[in-house]
Amino acid sequence: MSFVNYHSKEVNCKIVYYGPGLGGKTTNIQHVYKKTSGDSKGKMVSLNTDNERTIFFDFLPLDLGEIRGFRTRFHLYTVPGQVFYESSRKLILRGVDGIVFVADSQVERMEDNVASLKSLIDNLEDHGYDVSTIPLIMQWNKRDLPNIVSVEEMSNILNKYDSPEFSAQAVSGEGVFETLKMASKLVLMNLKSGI
Amino acid sequence: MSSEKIVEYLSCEISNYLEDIENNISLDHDIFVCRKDGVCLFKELSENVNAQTVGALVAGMWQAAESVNSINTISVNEYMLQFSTSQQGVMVYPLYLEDEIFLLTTLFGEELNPGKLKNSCRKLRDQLVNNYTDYQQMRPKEISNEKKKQEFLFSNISDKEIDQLFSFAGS
Ligand SMILES: Nc1nc2c(ncn2[C@@H]2O[C@H](COP(=O)(O)OP(=O)(O)OP(=O)(O)O)[C@@H](O)[C@H]2O)c(=O)[nH]1
Ligand SMILES: [Mg+2]
Repeated sequence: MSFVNYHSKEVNCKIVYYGPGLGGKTTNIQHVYKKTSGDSKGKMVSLNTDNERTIFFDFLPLDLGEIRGFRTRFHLYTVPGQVFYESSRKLILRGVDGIVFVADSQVERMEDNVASLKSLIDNLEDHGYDVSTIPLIMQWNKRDLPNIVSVEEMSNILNKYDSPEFSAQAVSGEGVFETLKMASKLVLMNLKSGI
Repeated sequence: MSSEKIVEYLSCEISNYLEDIENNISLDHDIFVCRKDGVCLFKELSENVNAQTVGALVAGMWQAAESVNSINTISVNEYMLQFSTSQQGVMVYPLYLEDEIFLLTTLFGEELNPGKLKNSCRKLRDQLVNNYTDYQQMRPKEISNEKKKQEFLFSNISDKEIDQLFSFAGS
């Protein structure tokens, strides 16, 4: 649930990176963090295990400056992808304004992509969201690896809502900002005004 | 959405209760109020404490604790959350305003009497709840819009505007 403060002219929005374990969600926002400079740079918080698997969430606040007179703040979260953490994933989706689904392009990971997408849809419905109207961006990550599914096929299998989609290679940063910019645009355009 | 009203209420009123001898409240630690999703509504924090970080963590902690506890049937009203030694730590009390929970958080260090501090936090919470109705009545009435229109805040954002927002990324 975004927060538009008309007095201080501020908007706060929440974007969640969702997807299967090891798909590259944390890597996405780490790249954003690395590239962020100056006043926009908030502190990145990672709640993870010793081997860097997300255990609850990563959090990165981004202060993006003004759009049409409103100061814009985005809160980026990742969920833990491991199946075990389903209840945590559900908690983090609460109040979400937009979602980036990070899919792992490797052939052997397709089943996990499908299962994770199903969990996303179920959790959103449980929170009372209309999945077809919430801003959702699909990212086909790890395009650099050898044994990957074609973009067309990924799209056929996973892009059920005709969402904008991007190929990415989060380790090198390719596609990371394209994905986030589109998510931000859709989220901002989805904000309701009126008191 | 009531958050904006709550921000106004807290920024006007909370400081009146931080030192309230009559009610035995004495709080000179970091105080923070956020929504359940972590968005900060009020802060009186030391310079090195980042409000957005505290918000995300406190909200996560609260929600996780709430889920752990959901097997119980005790009213949520009774809960508070505390993680502390005998000297330092964090306390969170739920603050119910406008049928919503907000998280009233105190971060403390070098506290000689955490028991007393806890009492102060609880009383502060109670004061904030009790005085909200009075505050509402005293506040100038909003001009009621006959039609409560829900429109989009921004329409047709251009790619250029988005690029500007992300200019920090040097893309
Ligand atoms: N080759 C390659 N490796 C990647 C890419 N993106 C991420 N990785 C690697 O994949 C591994 C997992 O990445 P994470 O970002 O931690 O994955 P995650 O989705 O956050 O995983 P969980 O926290 O368990 O849900 C890391 O070793 C990354 O370096 C990519 O585009 N290409
Ligand atoms: Mg992760």
